[in-house]
Amino acid sequence: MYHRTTLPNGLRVLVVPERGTSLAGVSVHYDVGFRSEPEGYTGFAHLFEHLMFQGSAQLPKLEHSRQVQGAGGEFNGSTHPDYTDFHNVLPASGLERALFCEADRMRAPALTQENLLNQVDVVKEEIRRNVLNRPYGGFPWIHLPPLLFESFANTHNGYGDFRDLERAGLDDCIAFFDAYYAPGNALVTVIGDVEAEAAVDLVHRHFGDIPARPLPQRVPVAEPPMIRNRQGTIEDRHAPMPALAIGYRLAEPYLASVVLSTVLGVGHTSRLVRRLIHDTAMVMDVNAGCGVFGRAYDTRDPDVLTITAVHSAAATAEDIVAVIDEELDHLADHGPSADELALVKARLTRQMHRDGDRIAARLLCYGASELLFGDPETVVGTPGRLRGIGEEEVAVAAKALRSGSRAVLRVEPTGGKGR
Amino acid sequence: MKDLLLETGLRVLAIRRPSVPLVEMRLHIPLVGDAAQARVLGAAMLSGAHLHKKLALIGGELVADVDAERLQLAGSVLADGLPGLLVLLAEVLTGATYSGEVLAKERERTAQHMALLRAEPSLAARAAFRRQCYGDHPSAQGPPESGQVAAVTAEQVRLLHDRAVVPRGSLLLLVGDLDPSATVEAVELALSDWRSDHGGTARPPLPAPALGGITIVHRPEATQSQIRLGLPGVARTHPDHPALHLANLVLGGYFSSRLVANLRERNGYTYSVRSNLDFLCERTMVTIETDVVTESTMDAIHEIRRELDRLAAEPLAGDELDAARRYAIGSQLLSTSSQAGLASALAGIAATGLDLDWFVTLPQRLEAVTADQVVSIAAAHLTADRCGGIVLGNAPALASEIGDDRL
Repeated sequence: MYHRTTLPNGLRVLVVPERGTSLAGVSVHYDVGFRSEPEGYTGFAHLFEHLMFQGSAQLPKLEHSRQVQGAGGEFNGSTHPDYTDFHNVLPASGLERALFCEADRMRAPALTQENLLNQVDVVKEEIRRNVLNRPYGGFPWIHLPPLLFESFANTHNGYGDFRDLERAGLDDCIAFFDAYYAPGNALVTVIGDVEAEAAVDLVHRHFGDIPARPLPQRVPVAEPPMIRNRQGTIEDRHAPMPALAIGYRLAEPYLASVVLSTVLGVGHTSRLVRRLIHDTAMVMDVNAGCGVFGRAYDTRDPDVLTITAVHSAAATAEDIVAVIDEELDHLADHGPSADELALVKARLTRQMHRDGDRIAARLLCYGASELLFGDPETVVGTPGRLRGIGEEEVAVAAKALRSGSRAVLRVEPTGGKGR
Repeated sequence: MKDLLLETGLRVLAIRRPSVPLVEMRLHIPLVGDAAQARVLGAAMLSGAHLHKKLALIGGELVADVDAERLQLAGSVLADGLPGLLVLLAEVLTGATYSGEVLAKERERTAQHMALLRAEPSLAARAAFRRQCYGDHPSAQGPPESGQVAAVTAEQVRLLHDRAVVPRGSLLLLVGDLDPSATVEAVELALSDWRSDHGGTARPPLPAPALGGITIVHRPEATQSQIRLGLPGVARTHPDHPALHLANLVLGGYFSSRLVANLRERNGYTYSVRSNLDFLCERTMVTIETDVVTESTMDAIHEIRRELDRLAAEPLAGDELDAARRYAIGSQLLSTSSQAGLASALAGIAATGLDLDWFVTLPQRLEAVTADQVVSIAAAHLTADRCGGIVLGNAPALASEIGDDRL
């Protein structure tokens, strides 16, 4: 059971008591992600997530980490297309300390020139490590959206260009905080070994006096349908093998598309793994999923379904796309078999329970579901809602993909000798 | 909880933890031998399409993971599918045939998989570091080269299975929504045909690591350096180990540590810097890992060395020890609060031959450590002059900066 309330300053609060665990979690979801960034400010939402860890009104730099870890806990933050989250999980005795830390930086983060320059350096090293200096860095989440969408919001690189990051000024940071980190633009989620009333009282005590501020206009992200197939190629000097990604725009009903992506490309029993890996050995690894990061229910509409494959140089992208088209046609005409549907539902149910067994994942899942969809049980309710998905619903989802347009992104290895 | 050594020599551990309606499984099988043969075995033993369909229908999944020390079959299943999972596990252990056709396909795929792993800078750096420390010792090898994988034969894999995939010395751990006594009985019945006269594979003792200086290892077109340094520590059963555990945390074992404050938050050299307690066979090392842009390599190494010497020479700051201690105890509680986390943690402990009690009583031993003991252990083991390792990166650029291939 969950409890909701809204403070007078507009801050939304969600509490999910879980008695007996002796653990607690606190997260804050801000309704700003990299799709909110204006031109010239690519990567700013993520950079600002880093700046929220640089100290605040009553806590010097690094003190958030020391407070939470010194109470035996863990913390992190992450930036998504439509939101930015911060979380803390710790022994339940540390609950109030975590709330104090989150409230202090929602009230007044320590935005200084020195901290800004330091974190621009850190973020550049993060991008080198995760994108520039490794194989398949940023594949496909950075390069596929520009082929699927038109608007700046939907197509730009959420990690940001180095030029934009270097140009970010302190004034920009202050303006960004004022606009997007208002209490009315945020959701606090508390889960764990605490009574609901006691948790709400604690949130009131720590966040209640943060002044309300005007709310930002949400950047429009809806787009007209794709009218033609598109393709693109990127060169990768670190990749040992070619790869490709196929993206489709997704429409409702979403859950049938999640089932479809699992039928297609998750696990040894999926159609693409059987055909492309077991039967023909064209492909080394193939995966399908909803969301550009492979996480379903993580963005507002429009979302995408993505299939990625790392493949042998002996197979061409056309060969692989042809197999995918064939399987989608077959599913559109006949739907999945009863066995296929049963095992996919069992897989999704197991995966949901398994993810939800970890307190940090559970906390973030409740918060993101509530922020994006106004229902904290969007994801945890999946096993129940799967009962409403039959062969026909999956066939309809497959038909929608086949009748619309798609984008194909190829990764071409261009590394030197010795690979 | 039920802990039983079966007549076949297999140790079975079943723990009730009904937080979600699942069961997590870890089967740890010590496996030392030719790295390429072991990788192909791991890929081929689960390759039957029928196996995966039967598993999927009971809401289960099974993956084989091979490294230089062991084969691990890891799985999870909807709780009422546990009997089915055990039956399928028995089929894999006693019925894998490694036909020529299956083997040819899995060999090809394994060769590609190894090429992908070897291209990952973090894995390449780990392999280079272990090679620097332990040379050709079988327990220290990284992913084998594609040519070695291509030479593996079906006969070799069958022999390796007969010799290594045996119950004696292996551990089956089941954690989740289960009845421990009934589960152990069900395991005994389901796996009764998994038997062998062999005692599993043995390995030669691991020598002390060779840590003289820092070697540059070239990686084409690298824009960052992977710095991997190490210092020999004391084993987990040594009385000084709890102090080493906390010294590692203060140095770089968590975000609130000195290396993070210095290299990341003060100097902006890196996104991530960590020190770890790295256990390989009977050896314990404190390892330090960070990735920095090529031009910052020397500065980053200099600061790491400075922090090592500072830890060994100066008293700890006011709250440093207590914070590290509370984190150590709290993070153990957090990481074992899920079925999968508990199963992985216990499998890791038991696999090294440590008593599970070692893990359960670790918080008490950490409580007893004093600040003086942390500084003493650092002075004895963690001074900069004991530190060595590798830098994986752009060798010409690094050499021109320092004029040699040794730093």
